[in-house]
Amino acid sequence: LNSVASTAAPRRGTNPRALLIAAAWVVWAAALTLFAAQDVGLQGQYLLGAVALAGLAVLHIAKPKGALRVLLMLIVVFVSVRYFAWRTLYTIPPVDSAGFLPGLLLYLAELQGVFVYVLGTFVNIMPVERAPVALPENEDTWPTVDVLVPSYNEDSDLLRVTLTAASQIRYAEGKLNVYLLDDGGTVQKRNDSDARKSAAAWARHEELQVLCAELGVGYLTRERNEHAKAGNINAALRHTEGDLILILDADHVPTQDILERTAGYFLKDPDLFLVQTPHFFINPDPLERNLGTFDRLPSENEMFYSVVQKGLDSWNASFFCGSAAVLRRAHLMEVGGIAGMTITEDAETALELHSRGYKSLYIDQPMVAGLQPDTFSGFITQRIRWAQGMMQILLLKNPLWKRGLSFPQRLCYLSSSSFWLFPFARLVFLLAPLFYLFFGLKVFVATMDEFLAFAVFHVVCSLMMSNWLFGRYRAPFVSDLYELLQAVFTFGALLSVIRNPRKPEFKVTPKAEDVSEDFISQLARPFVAINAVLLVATVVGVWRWHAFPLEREHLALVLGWNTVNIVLAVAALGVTFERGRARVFGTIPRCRPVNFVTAEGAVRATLIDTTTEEGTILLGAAALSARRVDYAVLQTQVPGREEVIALQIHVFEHGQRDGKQAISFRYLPQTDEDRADLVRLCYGDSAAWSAFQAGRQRRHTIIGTLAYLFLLGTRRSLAMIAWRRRANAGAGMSKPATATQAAGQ
Amino acid sequence: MHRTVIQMTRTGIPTMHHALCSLLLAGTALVAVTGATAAQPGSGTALETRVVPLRSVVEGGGLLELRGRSGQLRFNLPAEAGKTAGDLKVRVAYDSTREVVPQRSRLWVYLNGSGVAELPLDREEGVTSAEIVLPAGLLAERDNTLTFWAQQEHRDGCDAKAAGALWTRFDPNRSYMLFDAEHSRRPASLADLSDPSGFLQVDGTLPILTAGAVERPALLRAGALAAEGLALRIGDRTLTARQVAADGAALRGSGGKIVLGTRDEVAGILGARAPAVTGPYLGMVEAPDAESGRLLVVSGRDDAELLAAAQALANPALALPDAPDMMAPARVPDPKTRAAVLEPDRAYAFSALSVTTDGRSNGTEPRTVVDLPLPGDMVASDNRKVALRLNYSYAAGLARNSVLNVLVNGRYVSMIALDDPAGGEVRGEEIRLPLNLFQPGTNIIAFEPLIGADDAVGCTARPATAATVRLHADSEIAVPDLARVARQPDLRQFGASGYPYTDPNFEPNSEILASNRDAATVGAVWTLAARLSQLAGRPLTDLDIGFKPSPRPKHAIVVGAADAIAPELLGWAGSGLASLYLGPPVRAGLHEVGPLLISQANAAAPIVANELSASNAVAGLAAFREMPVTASLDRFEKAVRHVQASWNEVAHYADTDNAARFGLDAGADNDGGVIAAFESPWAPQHTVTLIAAQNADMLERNVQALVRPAVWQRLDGDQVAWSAATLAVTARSEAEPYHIGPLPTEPEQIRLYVNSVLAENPAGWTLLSLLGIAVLAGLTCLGLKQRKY
Repeated sequence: LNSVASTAAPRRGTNPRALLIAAAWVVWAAALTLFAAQDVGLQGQYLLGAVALAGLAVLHIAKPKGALRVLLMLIVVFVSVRYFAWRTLYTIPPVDSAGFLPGLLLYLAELQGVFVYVLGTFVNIMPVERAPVALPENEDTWPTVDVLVPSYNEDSDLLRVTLTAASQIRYAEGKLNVYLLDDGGTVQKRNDSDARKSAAAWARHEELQVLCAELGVGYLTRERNEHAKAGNINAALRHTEGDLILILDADHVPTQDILERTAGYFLKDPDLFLVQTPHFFINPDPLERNLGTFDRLPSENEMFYSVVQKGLDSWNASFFCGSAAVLRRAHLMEVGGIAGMTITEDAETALELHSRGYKSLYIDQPMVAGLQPDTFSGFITQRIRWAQGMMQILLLKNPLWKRGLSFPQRLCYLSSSSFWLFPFARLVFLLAPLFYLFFGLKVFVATMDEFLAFAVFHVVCSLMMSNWLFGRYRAPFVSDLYELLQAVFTFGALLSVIRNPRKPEFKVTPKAEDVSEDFISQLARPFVAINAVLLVATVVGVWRWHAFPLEREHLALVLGWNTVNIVLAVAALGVTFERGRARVFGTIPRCRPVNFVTAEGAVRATLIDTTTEEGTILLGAAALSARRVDYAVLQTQVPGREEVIALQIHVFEHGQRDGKQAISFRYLPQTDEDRADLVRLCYGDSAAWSAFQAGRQRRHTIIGTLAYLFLLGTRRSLAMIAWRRRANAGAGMSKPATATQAAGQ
Repeated sequence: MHRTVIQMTRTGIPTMHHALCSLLLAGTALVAVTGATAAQPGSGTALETRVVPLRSVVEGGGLLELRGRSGQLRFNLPAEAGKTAGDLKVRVAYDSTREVVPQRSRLWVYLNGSGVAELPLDREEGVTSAEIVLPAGLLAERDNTLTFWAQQEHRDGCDAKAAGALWTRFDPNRSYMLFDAEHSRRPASLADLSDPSGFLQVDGTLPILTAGAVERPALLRAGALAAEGLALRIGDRTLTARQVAADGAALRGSGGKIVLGTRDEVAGILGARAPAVTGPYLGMVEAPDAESGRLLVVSGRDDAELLAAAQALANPALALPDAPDMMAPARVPDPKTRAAVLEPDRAYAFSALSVTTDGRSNGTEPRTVVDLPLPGDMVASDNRKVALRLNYSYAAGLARNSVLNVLVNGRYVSMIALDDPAGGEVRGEEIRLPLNLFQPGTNIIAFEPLIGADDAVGCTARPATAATVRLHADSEIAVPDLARVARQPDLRQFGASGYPYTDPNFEPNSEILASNRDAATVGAVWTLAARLSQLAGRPLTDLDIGFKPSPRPKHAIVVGAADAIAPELLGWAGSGLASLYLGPPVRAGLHEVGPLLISQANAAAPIVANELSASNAVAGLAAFREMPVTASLDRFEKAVRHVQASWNEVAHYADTDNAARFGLDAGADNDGGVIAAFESPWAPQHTVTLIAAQNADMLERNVQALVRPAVWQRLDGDQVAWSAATLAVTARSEAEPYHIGPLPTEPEQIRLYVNSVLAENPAGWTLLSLLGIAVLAGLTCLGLKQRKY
């Protein structure tokens, strides 16, 4: 226990051997880069490219580990380094030519891409899989834990679920305390000069106090809403004293095993300040929902949590993601609690603690279920905050110069923060073909031989490498689509940060919004314009094809590029047509056996999805003749309870699904224990999250995914046009307030 | 456009008359210019009928073939305005591929850019014979150029593959020009030598008459300098010097001759016509009869003065007076080199370079040619670029597929589309030319406008009536920094610039050694010296020429018949050279080795042409021989017969690509030459270039063939064998490379040199890269281990 609460300085110190290795690595990498920049003709480049492709084949087929994996990955990266050296030295149009400026922009966009790619490869060169560290049998030695659930404006129903689940976390009796940190009911808010706001704050304050008392969790609030979420947590730290702190966002419902799987590491390593776990979301994000890919393609964040964080962990650079993480109070307090200079307080805090020599690690086991923004505008609000926050870190706490970080940590943080420069690159990639199609400007000076030797090998190798690294967790071009969706809005926000790095303010991501009907997001207009411009450019390209037969070689490349842009733009437009849905909270997929008990008897059934309010079961074939019923009881087992529980339900829909009788129902909890059981049923078991993720994780072909996205985007865009016609003919466009929230941010 | 076809016949059917004509093709002399000479009343001149085989004046000494959609052949006419009586006539016999579309294919003929004839291309009609009149009024005072341009369209379409299969060929034996040249009767003048084209024989042969054999090194050196002097005054045309022991007959014959020797020796040759030589002397002497060419006397009272006279003649900067003779001045201005070597890492405006309008492309479009003299010791195997920044304009309304092609040393590199319907005034268009296309020495960048075709004429370009593309003189060329390392052996470098023998740094430390004193060997040395001086653009006054090696180590060119060359030297030339022989490897004496060269019928000779089908070859040759001569026998016929009878180079062109098409039997002759460069066995870091043939006569013939562009420009590797009969060339690289002179010491030069070496060894570079990556991988793994906790 002493070691958990220890405030002793980290043991890292200066490891001469590590320093020597890092210095040698830097010198050798620099020398190798210089070597790569030498012009030695094209034959060697072809040979190197062939070796790299062979290496990729080995990586794909044999999946080697250890040094061979590192060697092969570095060979592939070397091809890209060669490409970019050549790109830098020889391919930028002359300064006094019309193509110089667009050529330079394209070069800089590629620079960002290659930079992130090379750093990303470094990060992911040997991801670490953490072996579980169990807590000792003697519970007296276990550290005390405070579960902090900061909240700003979340609904009490949502908070009830989270707090209930937090209370159900398995841990030593008397060593776990749960606190709701209410920033929506602060003294400042309760005394707001606006009487309506003041009344709302008072109401919230009182309602949540009652809720906390009912659930047996602590209620904490503060005087003023300073420093947003970070300030809220720091204020709570002054009123709590647990050795460890588990931080959960208000919508992040923990599973019961979250501490069993994390707290043990703190006993093993006194320098450990953080154990981060993945964020698992039970509802689709706007792209997944509006294009309908939620069940078919891995979620966007899976690449980060399934690969990148493990890579960061290998370099002791896994960082705090704001929630679903356990931190050691002693180390956290050493840096004054959660940092607040930037609006990504989580990463900033981790950076500070890493720079002091403390360690972090990452457990790839989803143990919270959260909600993603329901609307595209909410999604953009969230991403603008992330982008601005990471840019603040880059500008205000540049990891390259941050004192105390190890060299790999610098590269890892640089990789994480510089990734968010993608809006610039993405927009340039969108525009670059247009320079040629509309104005005939040449933005890339190279012969076809050189293009084949350098660019083609680079593109093929980097695509294959990315597919190998992330293919199971991110379908090809899905990243590009997400980037395009965000780039249009985050570009300006990033410029604002660059102009004034301290300006951005923390904005809470709206979640659990009520979107009951289809509507066109107010953010759709830029994508309408982009599609129009790209289509006109295609027409111009076809004209050029006929008018300038000598340009066809180049034109074919540019038109191909423009076509990919069109596919992405069409899909992006489809995303902005918001799909209405009945349920507010995420539907939790399940495959749990239940007994469907009616007055006539019990029937075996399978619970296939559920929320804490509603669910759906499939009856077995024998039940097809079952008479329709309105009320019934569902019997099942839930995590944390040995006995079978019984929940009353009201059936509101009978239907067919996959040839079986499907019954949709609403839960009718009678007691607090019923409600607690519902939370256990829905959120108690982390294995369910892993199983669901695994079901979506499979590799997709590049062309196939491109066609799939185009198909979905086209279908959704056409639906949007049809909806718009109907709306124009009828009452007009529906614009829920939530759709406009992010427009001005 | 003048379009006059005097007479044109197509037939594929041999006749007795044709058979008779084909008999005229046999002979031994290289070329002849002869005919009746008749005085023109009251003019003070006589007429001399000249018959010039087109193959002897074809630019570059290459094939008489037009390839592709717009193939082109250019001939340097040995005729001048005001020096011919009446029009010139060109007789050609040509054949085309069967795939050509007759309706859209034409053969255009231009004299100095003006169209003079349009001939059909129709393979179905058989071989076409035509006689074309070249109006004398179109002749310029000098540098007259006859151009054949074939617009050819393949029946399968306009793509590159189809274009590559298009050809039209001239029968080299049946294509010639005839004209009456005025034989001036005005007193001979040294000033006439400022353009010695009229002095030399049509094929560039220069007999140098000496009193007996050339025994003295001074005489050998003086002859070389004299040959250099004339070679430097005829530009890039080939000069072949022959040493002739003077007697009465030697003074006769067409074409000018040099009489070389001390005062007493000249007096012995010329007798009463010998001039009074009181010092270093240069003088023109009338020939013994009107039909013979004039005599240039190079003399002095002793060898020193003889050398001084020859040295003065060799200097093209020496102003030759309009007088019959002169004493060579004690001080001669420094010779002006043809073009200074460009400094690397600098940009040059076209106006500062030798930019010429050189012929036409696409029928009527002027071709712009830029000479780019690069250092002889440059090493550039990497992918860096010579950057062109072009300012140009082009006319409106060109077909959309019109282009300005850019060629480096004859090889297509890039193009600029001339596809703006409104025309264009373009500034700063940048084109980057890979440095590895350039060679040490002079390089040629050619800009060929090709005006495209419109739908109405298929893929055949439409000739424009006026120049439509203009490159401006303020266009620039930027030469990147170059590694400067003299790497040897490198016959390509030798062929491009004469390196290292012509390099100012190495020339004083170089020599040419004649292995024997016979006329053939001496002639070969002089011919070679003349060629080297042309490459250097100046006389090689510091280059030693002699019969014995210098006591101190020098870079040496050894010229000799195989039986006169030390066996050890042959052995040092490399085992590869031995394989060029038909006998066992060279180890002991050459006499054990066997015949020197390559083209014996029973040998698996390395010459590629020998691998071609002999049966096809003979059949093709027969077809040409049986072609009819349809032109009427007129007063030129006698001269024609003489030329054809004296021309032994029946199978003149043969290489990998064209031997089958031409049907030439490269193995018909068994003579050939070999050139091998290697590190001197007795002086490390010194280069020996051995030029040899089986015997002296073959040596002379082969050196004459060697200096022709068709062979010289194909020198490569460190061993080259060629056939004087077929001009087939085989090159190989075998010797271990070495360098002469210092290695670079400056970091940037070291970097460039290492890069070039790596570029030449891509596998080595790849392995080196992998090694570097492996080290980084090891360090990465070590770093990862540090992270485990």
